[in-house]
Amino acid sequence: MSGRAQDSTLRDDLVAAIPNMRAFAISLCGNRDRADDLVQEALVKAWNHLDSFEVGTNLKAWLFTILRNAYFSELRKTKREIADSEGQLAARLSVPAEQQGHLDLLDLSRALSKLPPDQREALILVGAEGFSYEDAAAISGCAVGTVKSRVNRARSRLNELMTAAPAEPSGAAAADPDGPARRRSRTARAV
Amino acid sequence: MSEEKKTSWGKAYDANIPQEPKQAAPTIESAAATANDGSDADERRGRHQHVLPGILGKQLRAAYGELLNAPVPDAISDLIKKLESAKPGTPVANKAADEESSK
Repeated sequence: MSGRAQDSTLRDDLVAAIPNMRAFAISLCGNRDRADDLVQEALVKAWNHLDSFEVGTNLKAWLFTILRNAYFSELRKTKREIADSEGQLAARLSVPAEQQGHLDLLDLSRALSKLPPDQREALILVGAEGFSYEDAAAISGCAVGTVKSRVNRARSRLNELMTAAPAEPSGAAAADPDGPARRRSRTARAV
Repeated sequence: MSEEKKTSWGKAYDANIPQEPKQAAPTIESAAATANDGSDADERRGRHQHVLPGILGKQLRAAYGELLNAPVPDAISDLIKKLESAKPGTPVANKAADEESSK
């Protein structure tokens, strides 16, 4: 393949990875606007350093590394996590309200937002994005064992959060106080 | 041995890589092997995809799937057009980052 065709393919692949980058960024920072800024920052960095990418290796993993580094750099600067208390993951869900399990999904997104960033990152990379532990470790810049440990801790913490006493009921949940609790129990058993 | 910090995909892309615990060499090699071997990667991906079994895992993947299917905002589409129209080798500024730093 010629250099120009290769560049074109690489750029097409980069554009194709944008939805994944956005989903990962929203999951990481819990704020859609900030996530879009992070994606733009990562895209510009990637674009300006495309010559540093080794063709034939994992482009998505490379992009995710740039993205998460931008996020954690900012996190270290601000020393606080900018988070939407309800979680943007919940806001983006398009599951109809009448569909069974909707409240479970909201609970899940709230629980996710309460995880430490490193555990949330590991869980999203491996459990949602489908990266291998090895790729997730390369992206996060840590050992494979660390990723496994973070995933396990995230899973345990999620389980605890999902089985904890429900928050102040509201809306449909208030009208059916037993419903969410029952569904929560089903989720806990399934995990 | 070179002192340049390398990623699993080759050359360092950025000098500002956060200082996190260093990764063991075998992991880097296996990550590179994963990237180059599609079938093996798929097999592993399939296995790890179910790191969260049951309803919780399904919910997580469903929620993430919704995010994946969300339309790309105009700001990002505009940025891509800007990047594509830029001259090769010309560094492109990031408007979002510029706005952030000016605050």
